[in-house]
Amino acid sequence: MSLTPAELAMWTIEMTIKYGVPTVKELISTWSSDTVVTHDMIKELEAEIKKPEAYFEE
Amino acid sequence: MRKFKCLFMIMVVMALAVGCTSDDYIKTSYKSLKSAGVVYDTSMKVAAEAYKSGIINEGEKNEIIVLGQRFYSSYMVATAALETAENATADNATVKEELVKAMKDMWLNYDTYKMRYNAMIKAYQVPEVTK
Repeated sequence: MSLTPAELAMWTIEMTIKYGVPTVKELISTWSSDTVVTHDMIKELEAEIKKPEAYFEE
Repeated sequence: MRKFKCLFMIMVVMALAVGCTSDDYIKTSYKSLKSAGVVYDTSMKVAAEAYKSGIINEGEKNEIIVLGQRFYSSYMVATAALETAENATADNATVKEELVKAMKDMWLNYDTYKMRYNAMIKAYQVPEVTK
């Protein structure tokens, strides 16, 4: 399926709102937080991302 | 012999990580890893949406998966190293204890580490480790 330039632009805007905004918020909160890093927080890092194949299986 | 080389290299990385242990080091490493993870997660979600919408084809999807595997392996190894560094303190006895624990863990989970290591070195065209 090929998208027209207008459709592609709309799709890009949609993705930016859906994923870009929450991502930027998350990054800002990560870098601005001054909390003590605990062992559990480091353990959670492993669970925060999935194997690349898993994203396409959803 | 190669198994030992692999373990040795991982131990060197672990030892360096432990040697650099400090509050700032842990905090900065955590923030860097967390940020990299968030960016990876978002990129993969967008790629999956693009695939579902037909913007990228099967071949492009596979290329993204290969790149993603490299990141995933590196991220997991870095997380394990950070965990070891966080467990250790300036106290030498604790550092030694943590290193022994890490070595034991690597020995018991050798296959998992080998897989991660091989995926990582593939990116640099180094021969794989075989049993």
